[in-house]
Amino acid sequence: MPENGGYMIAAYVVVGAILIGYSLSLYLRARRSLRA
Amino acid sequence: MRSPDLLRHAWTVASKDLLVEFRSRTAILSVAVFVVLVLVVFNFGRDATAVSNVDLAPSILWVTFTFAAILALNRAFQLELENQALEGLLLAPIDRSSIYLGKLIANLVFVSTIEVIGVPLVALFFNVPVIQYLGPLVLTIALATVGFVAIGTLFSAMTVRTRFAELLLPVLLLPFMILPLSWAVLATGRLLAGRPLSEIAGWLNMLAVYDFVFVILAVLLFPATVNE
Amino acid sequence: MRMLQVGRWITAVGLVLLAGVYVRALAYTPVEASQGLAQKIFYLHVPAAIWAETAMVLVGLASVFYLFTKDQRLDRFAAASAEVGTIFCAIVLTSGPIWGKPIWGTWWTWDARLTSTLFLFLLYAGYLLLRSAVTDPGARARFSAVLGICGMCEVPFIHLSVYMFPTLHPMPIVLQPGRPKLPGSMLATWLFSLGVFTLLYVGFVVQRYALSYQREQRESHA
Repeated sequence: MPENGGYMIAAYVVVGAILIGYSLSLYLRARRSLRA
Repeated sequence: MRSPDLLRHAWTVASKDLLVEFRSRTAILSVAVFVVLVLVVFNFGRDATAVSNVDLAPSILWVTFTFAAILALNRAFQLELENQALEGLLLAPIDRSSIYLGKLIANLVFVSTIEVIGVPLVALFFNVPVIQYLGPLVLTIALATVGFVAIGTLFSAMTVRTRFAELLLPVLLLPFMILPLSWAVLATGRLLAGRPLSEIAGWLNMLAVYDFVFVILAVLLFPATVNE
Repeated sequence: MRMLQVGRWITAVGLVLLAGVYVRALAYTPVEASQGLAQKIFYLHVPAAIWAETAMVLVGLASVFYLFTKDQRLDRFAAASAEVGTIFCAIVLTSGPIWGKPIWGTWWTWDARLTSTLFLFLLYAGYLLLRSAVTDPGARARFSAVLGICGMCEVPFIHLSVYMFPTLHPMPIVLQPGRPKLPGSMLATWLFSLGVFTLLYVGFVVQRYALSYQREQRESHA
């Protein structure tokens, strides 16, 4: 079996970052919009 | 609106545009110069031993045609921006679809002119045999051209009044161009390499279906781009 | 704003369950023998791809109905689905090459599937750019609808081209009848992930929709 666990981790980290990042973006934009 | 009127009005709109275009001639000339420029640059840029002419020719052909199409499309509705000509056009007692078809015809004539200039030039400069494949080649070029000019004409109606119109149009058009373009380049490549017609039939079918779907779609959607 | 709260809750649940997917995929799902650990990227990549495309189809459908009804809610939904679809598309375009590099030896190849996902991303980008370039709300809604419908109609052609061009990309494995199926444990993980991505799609869209609504309220009171 090939040794490619590093790629797996990289992908999981990137995808998680994108999803969490977008959730944060939505949260902050809504807060800014409500405050204005 | 009945069919004969639709086409007649479309032709009126088209001839108006074409008349303006051919009177000034600037657009045709600049594209013709560009075609020659691209051909010369490609000729000096390539390594004749590494890449054969036949491999390069389809890409060169389609780069130039695409540029010509974008140029035509950018100008398609610009004519109407001045003096509120678009409102005047919309007030005329003709179907919205006639306006679209007219613009489409005018754009197709413009791009076809470039293609008619471009194909012999490529054949000449790159020593690529074209005459024996002329029929299928013309068909391939025609099908692909109709595809992206149809969509481009629709989009240009939307982008013409936005801030970065000339930039926005190619960006919007890009994903719709890549598919027919890649089919066309592949088909052209196979054709010029002397492959049998049966090999490219699949791509020609795709192009035909694509054209059918998107021309009809564009005719149906065009009113939404100009209605207030 | 209630809709916003609902959206936030759904997203929160989705993110928690996403952690569950991670745990299950990484620790409790068997490793595929020929590809190794990298194959597990599949559990994130494919559900994201499904929603990236579905979101575009939904944008298209909402656009069609908008042109008939001129109901602003449909336009808001289309804008929301487009933005969320872009995010999922970005997930596919990042996880894809990361998966491809160890398996095929290259980060990128112009094969049909990767290229068509790139097109999808370009469609989304164009849609979002068009929306930001048109200032009049009525025109913006109409133009976006036109673009959305064209985008939706492009998707089947993108699909067809997958089967027409020779490709390195694995052919559909989960939904193809009669082909070797995913073993039970892997299928379960994949379905779990699909459910979570569905939940996240809904949560994101609801929040984004609420955001549009908020902005419109603010602009009309300004």
